[in-house]
Amino acid sequence: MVRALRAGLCLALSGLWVGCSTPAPPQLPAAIPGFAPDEAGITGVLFVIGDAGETLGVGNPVLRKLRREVEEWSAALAADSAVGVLFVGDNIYPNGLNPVGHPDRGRDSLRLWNQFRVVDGPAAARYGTPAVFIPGNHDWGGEFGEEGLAFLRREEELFSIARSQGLEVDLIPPANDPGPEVVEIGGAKIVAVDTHLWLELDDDLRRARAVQQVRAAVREPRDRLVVFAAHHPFATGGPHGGLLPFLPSLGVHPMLHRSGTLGQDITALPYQEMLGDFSSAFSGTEALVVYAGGHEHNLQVIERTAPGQPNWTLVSGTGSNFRGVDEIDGTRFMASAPGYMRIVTLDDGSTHLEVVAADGAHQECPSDQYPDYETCLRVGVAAFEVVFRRQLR
Amino acid sequence: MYGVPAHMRRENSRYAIRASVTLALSLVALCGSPKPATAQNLEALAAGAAGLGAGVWWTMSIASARARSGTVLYEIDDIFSYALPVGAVSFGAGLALGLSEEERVGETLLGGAVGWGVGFAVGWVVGDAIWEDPAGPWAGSVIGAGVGLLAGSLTGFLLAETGSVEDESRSPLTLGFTLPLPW
Repeated sequence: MVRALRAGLCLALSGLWVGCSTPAPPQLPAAIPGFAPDEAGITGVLFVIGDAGETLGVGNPVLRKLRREVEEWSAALAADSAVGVLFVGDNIYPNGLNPVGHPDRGRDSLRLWNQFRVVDGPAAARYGTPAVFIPGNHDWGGEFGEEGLAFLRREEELFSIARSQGLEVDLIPPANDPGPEVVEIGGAKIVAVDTHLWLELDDDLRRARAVQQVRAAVREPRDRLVVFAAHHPFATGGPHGGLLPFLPSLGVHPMLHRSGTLGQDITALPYQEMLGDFSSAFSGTEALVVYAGGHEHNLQVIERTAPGQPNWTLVSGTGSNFRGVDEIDGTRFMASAPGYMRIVTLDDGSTHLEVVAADGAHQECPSDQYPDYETCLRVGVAAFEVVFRRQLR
Repeated sequence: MYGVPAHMRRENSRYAIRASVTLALSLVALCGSPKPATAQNLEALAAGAAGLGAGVWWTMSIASARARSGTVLYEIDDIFSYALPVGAVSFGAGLALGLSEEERVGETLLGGAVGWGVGFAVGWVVGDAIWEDPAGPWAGSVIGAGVGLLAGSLTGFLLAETGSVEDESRSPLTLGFTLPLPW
């Protein structure tokens, strides 16, 4: 009897362990050929990268690789704003830009400058290649209201300083504006919103006005590419979408997620209401709508599976960190690896997506592992390759 | 919508830890009058553990109910400001029950378990009916199970048949512990 009980308990625990553990992160696919900068017919390239605000030292291989690509593509396309970079939020970890005099101010500031440097090369300067940054929840310092706004305003000041030094960088929408802010870069119409602010919009009039403006901004004809830029993703198979191990919290974390209790998770009521706002706007357009978000530290390409969704949802949040991801409805690609995405538009009207990534070992260059920091960066940059390619239209 | 700013949440957590430990110890000291050694058996520990588990669930119920009324948690760590006092009280209550009313432990646990199950099921149906979002049924279940757990535990405790199990010939076992609290 005792043996049977013990065996039953053992079996139940094993089942719990297997059934509730997080699946192993997907393997990075083999490299495939991507578009070359000198290829004919390319009219615009937009790079999408996110959650890049946790770099160590003066940059990491991801940002170095991106800078090199920005230079190559800017020189090859040789047209004003034909190349653009979209940073989809969480530009400074862990708590936005602290005030002058704070012990972390130098580190915070450096983390943002590391990203600014992506567009500080000669070709980028010559052709006015811009980098636009969306605010994320960490840029608000994890706060709301005036408390959080102070963090974002300080970050905004750093953008002004960078612009005064000739860098084409901007924070959109501006602090305390939910958006949408519209810019045309990299062959796409960028419609940017501040989802952290949107999540706490309790002024009905302000919200209704913002929704109306989003509707108007995305309403474009069939041949247009609209990149809806927001920090919080429209769909995700990562931790904020429910990929949570059972055991570390004994089920508390997954249960709070499922019941919509955690505000940064997709199941939360304010988050659902926000997606409802966006969904109503996406329903009324014929344009190719690509929702570009971060928040999750992984790479995901998700195709529309139901009306009201964007045609494609991209999650590009491995600019400085990566975590697990699992498949959801519509997933066409997923990876837990450092990298970014590029959207390439051609003169025949087609739009293509490429995912550039490397093995996780090349995320950062910790000084204790690599005495020669530059060597680490060089080795890391060489490891990035195109691992996924898909025609979006 | 998100209520408390981060710096206050951190301060609240520290305060909650201090308050919770004090509460739990006070409750055990007040209610857990020592029984003969045989009475201080695994039942007390089981009751304490069950109380802690119930406290964790009630914490989730409170957080979930607040989220439904518009005040979501910013991140998982914020649950500690709720969990510690509730968990400490329920752990203390469970331990005290096991120490002083051990003959009621079984019925209380059984009542709680039945109440939890019924509350979960009813909550799912109610949550699905009143909230349209996908998390609605889950929220209903978490809240409903919390209510059911409380109602079931109380009912089980009150309806439990008690009998004298005292045996004065055995000496009480004294439990002592020291907590290295850093404040």
